Amino acid sequence: MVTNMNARNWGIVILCLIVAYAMPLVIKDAYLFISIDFLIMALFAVSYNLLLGQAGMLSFGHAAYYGIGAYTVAILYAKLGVPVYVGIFAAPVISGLVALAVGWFAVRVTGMYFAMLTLAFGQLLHTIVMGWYGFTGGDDGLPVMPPDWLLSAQHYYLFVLTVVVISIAVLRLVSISAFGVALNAIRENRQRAVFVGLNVKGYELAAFVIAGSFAGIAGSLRAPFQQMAFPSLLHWGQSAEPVLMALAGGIHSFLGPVVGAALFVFANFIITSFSDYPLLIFGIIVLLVVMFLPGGVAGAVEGWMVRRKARSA
Amino acid sequence: MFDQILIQALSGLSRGMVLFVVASGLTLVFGTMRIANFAHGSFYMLAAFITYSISTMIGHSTFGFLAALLIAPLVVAAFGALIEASLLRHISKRPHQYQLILTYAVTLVVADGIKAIWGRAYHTVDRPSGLSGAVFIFDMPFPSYNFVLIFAGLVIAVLLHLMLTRTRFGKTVRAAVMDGEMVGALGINVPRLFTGVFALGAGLAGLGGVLAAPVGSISLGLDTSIIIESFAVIIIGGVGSVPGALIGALLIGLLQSIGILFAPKMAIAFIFVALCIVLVVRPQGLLGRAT
Repeated sequence: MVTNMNARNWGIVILCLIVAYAMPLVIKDAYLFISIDFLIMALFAVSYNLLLGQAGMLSFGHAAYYGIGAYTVAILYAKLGVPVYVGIFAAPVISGLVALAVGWFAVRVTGMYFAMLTLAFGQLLHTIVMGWYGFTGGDDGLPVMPPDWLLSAQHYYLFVLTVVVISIAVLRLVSISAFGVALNAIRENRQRAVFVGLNVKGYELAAFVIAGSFAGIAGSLRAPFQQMAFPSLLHWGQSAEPVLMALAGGIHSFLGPVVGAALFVFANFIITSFSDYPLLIFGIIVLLVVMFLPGGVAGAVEGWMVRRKARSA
Repeated sequence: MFDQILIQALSGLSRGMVLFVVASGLTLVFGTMRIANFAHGSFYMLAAFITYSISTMIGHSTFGFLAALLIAPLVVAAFGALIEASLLRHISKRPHQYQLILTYAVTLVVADGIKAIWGRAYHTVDRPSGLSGAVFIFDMPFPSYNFVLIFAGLVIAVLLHLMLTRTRFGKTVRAAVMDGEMVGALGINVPRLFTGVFALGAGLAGLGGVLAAPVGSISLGLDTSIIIESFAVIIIGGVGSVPGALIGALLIGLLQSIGILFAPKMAIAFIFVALCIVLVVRPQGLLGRAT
């Protein structure tokens, strides 16, 4: 993982930000909606990659914290009349607390066990949200309306963009901090990390809580966007999405999952608009990517650049 | 109250037996190949739909059901072998997230494939004639088919035990669960073993799917509920342990059916209480070996 950015990379980031903020002036509302979708998924995927890419923790229940973020905003709005832009501050706290409760049990195991366990707990939370009709609205979902000044696609896009950029910047700081370096060490060699005296389970739990909190922020942006919080936001199918985005984009670069999110949202848009069996086609694409693009798209591009350099040398 | 609990316990046992048949396949696959196979629930669901088609074709009779009991698990086992040999085998050296996501992709393909073949409607399979009635226990009706499930589960447990302890294939599988590398070093054809184990696992999931088909309805979404419960079973029982899967499955079946008496909508929470207790007290599972 690259820990320091040179001037050229900063230039690219600033250019991307200027383009992103100028977008609403140029493109139509329909495309802004897809862009909002992409931004939310990008934050969801980057938060997830703190676990998979950095700490080597294969969680398969990340949607639970995403969905709880969405429900935090919706419940605060529906029950207490708290506006959306205040609710999104509560979302990471609640999601983080739930992640703390689940993580406390889950970090006792590793690898595939961890995947099964996080999946099982995620489905438990999904079942609770489905069943707790009086509080969550059950499978009817819970409506949530953004205030007037956030209703237009342009305004909501700028709002989401700002929240996502700040969140990803914070996650970047986490990933290059001493804490992030410790997570790298745990991923590379868990046993050695234990031997040098790292509190491995403590670090893993902290990573799980941080990742869950930021997934909660992503979810809190999703509910007002769809003007509804649905139980399906917590479903394991939703949990597979950040795994797919991270793998498709490349888990070993910080922005790989962002590339993955773009591919995912775009592919989803195309597939659902022409096919009655989107899962079938999507599943086959995933099979092909897993079989033939082991490093994700970012990995493939990097490999191609290395080969090109080797040829020209 | 006592009679109610007894009836619920019996139905919990029958549900637990189906769960055992499914989870035993999952635990063997996990134990030997170290893969948490998400597609396991899809094999179960696929077998239930095949059972529906076979019984519809032959006529909803005992013969139709017995035919399904024979054919569906074999079809699903062959499908499993195909997936292992054509997909999983080629990525066995890669980090485990790839294997996990690959089996997840299979669940998507199977779910939409089933939707394309059988449609979105709910289907039902009649119970075999003679077993469609109920037995009265303390004047309360109890479906007699549930006794068949309990009996079938016990028979399968014994057969599986004999296979694992008496046959060459079974002994190799048990050795692979204990030390996979050593099995390879001793000259066992590991890829072939894996294909065999994966087919066996899929077949057991299929067997569970056929047995469960006459109970409740056959619909999309069967895969999710069974895979979550099966994961819970093998974590509680200890991964790779078939007796552990039996204990875990019966425990979960009982907890759920008796839990319904006390908290109808939240019975699933009881499973998780058990899961959490096991994780704190014995993280390797009740009959699992500490690593």
